[in-house]
Amino acid sequence: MILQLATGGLLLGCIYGLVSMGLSLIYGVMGIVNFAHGAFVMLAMYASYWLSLFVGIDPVLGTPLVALLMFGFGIVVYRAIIGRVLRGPFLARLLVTFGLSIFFINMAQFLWSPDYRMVQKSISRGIIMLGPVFIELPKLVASIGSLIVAGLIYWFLRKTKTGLAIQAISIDRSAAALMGINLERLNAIAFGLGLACAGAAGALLASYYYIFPDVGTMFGLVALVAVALGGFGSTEGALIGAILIGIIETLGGFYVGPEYKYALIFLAYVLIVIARPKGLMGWGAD
Amino acid sequence: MQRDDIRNLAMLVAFAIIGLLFPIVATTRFSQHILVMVVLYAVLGEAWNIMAGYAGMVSIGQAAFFGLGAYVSSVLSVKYGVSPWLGMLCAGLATAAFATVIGLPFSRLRGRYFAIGTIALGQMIKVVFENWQWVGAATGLMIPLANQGFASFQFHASKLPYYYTGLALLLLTLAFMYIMERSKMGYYFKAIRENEDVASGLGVNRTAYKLIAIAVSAGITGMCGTFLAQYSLYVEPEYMFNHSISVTIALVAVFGGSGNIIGPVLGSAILMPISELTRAWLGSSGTGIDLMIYGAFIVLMCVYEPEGLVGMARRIGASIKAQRERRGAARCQNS
Repeated sequence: MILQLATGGLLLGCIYGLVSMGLSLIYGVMGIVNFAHGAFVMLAMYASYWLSLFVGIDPVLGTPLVALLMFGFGIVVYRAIIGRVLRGPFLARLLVTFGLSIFFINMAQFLWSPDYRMVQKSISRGIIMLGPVFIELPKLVASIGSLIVAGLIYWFLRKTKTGLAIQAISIDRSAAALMGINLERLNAIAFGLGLACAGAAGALLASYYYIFPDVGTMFGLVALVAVALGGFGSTEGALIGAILIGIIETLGGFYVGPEYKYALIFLAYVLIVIARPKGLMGWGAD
Repeated sequence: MQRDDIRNLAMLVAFAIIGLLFPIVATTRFSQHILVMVVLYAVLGEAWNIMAGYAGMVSIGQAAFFGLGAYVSSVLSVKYGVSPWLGMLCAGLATAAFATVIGLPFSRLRGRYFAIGTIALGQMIKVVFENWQWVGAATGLMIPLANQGFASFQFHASKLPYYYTGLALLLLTLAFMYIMERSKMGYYFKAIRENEDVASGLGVNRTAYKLIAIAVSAGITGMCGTFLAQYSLYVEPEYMFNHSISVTIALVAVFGGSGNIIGPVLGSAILMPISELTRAWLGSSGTGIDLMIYGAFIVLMCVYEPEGLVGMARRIGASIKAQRERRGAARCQNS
């Protein structure tokens, strides 16, 4: 039983991990806590839904397309809003994404109604047995997809020139600027990448999860907790935090009661952060 | 009394008079409702201001204290027949005590970790109340109707008495903040906000003052919870502990300009009517367009007026002054 639950938690954690990675990337580069991250996951889920309904692209196969769309959208949002707020005071930087979140969630409700939707014909369906453990195929596919995207982002950050520049910014912004790194351009790319992560996660989720305007909120909050748990600015920390949360959620939901599963996540956050005020792998100034 | 004090006192009196005059124009129940919401969120914004604007601990979980206060007075009133006024006092004290206990570990957290911790607190306490049968779990509690009047803190015919009660609460809070800002405590809070390590190095007991800020802020917020409970006559976890209450409180204060006394009042006076009016005009069927406009408004404000209304007023004031000086200088040269 515990094996079954742990597997479920791990699968869930992988998707949380992808969402969290985007959040962590954005925070690391520009110091913005993106409270709208969940709303972007939701938008991606809708994009994926419309693509499958009208164009006939399966959510899983459409993942790169949705990620690309969200990347472009991220650049636009950065240029129009985030980039302008970056020079402003701390509170404006903290609250602007709240505004975005309220805006997009209610836009979805206004344009597409609060109804629950579901992608009808997804290619990944069914259950497979892995030894004593039942695994729902859509969740497995989504988790593997998440790991692939996370791996790609990781490779991009470690091996390409742009990625290294992004890392340099998160270590020391002014030194990076002095070395000739174009902060504005890379901020925009990092924001786009962060949203691409949310987009990919949304598309993968769309293959088996209900889609409604408020669907992203919990993903966003959980990702926030995962990133804080791992330590703001640490991409690996975010992934570890997310998997930990996935497991806490599944085990806690079973042993304590499903109504307490999110409360347990938050409790874990509070306890861990009180013991380690900068998260598990965080460092540097806040 | 110095000239500054006299001017500020005059401003407070003028403010109270303006506040008392509003009901002349607000004759419909709906406009009275807007006035009630404006004073309620002005007090909540000021309470947030003590903690975040002055002492630098940004909370996005004020609903935890708000809901707790609402429940304390409602449980006392429903189960033990305690007067809501006594209940309000108990609510304030209980939330302040709760906040002190919670604040002890929380005061270790900084910046974003603190802010996210408060979100977590708000969510956790909501889940607890949703599953606590004794206080009605998810359905909450209904406060039984009583004869209206100040004794029962229930007014059915008109919403104006609620408004005056809220206004009194606001004036008390403002007076408290005025004294606080000029006391040693106010300076300690600001020192902690600007750099708590340095403040601590200079001998400010940071844990003690952080706890005071959290407790006072929570206590006032808890009393506001009682106020809303008496206003709507029911408490329910989804209503009282709603995350959007926490967000709105922070927005009101930041929109007006945090870290000064008048900011949250201005913020509430502008944001709450916008929020209520858009809801009434556009959101009749829960379509979401009201909150969509609200969200867009917040984003625009962060982009164009990140210092809030007070910052905007200061900038305009400074530019007028500079212009006048320039003109004066030009006149001197001409003569």
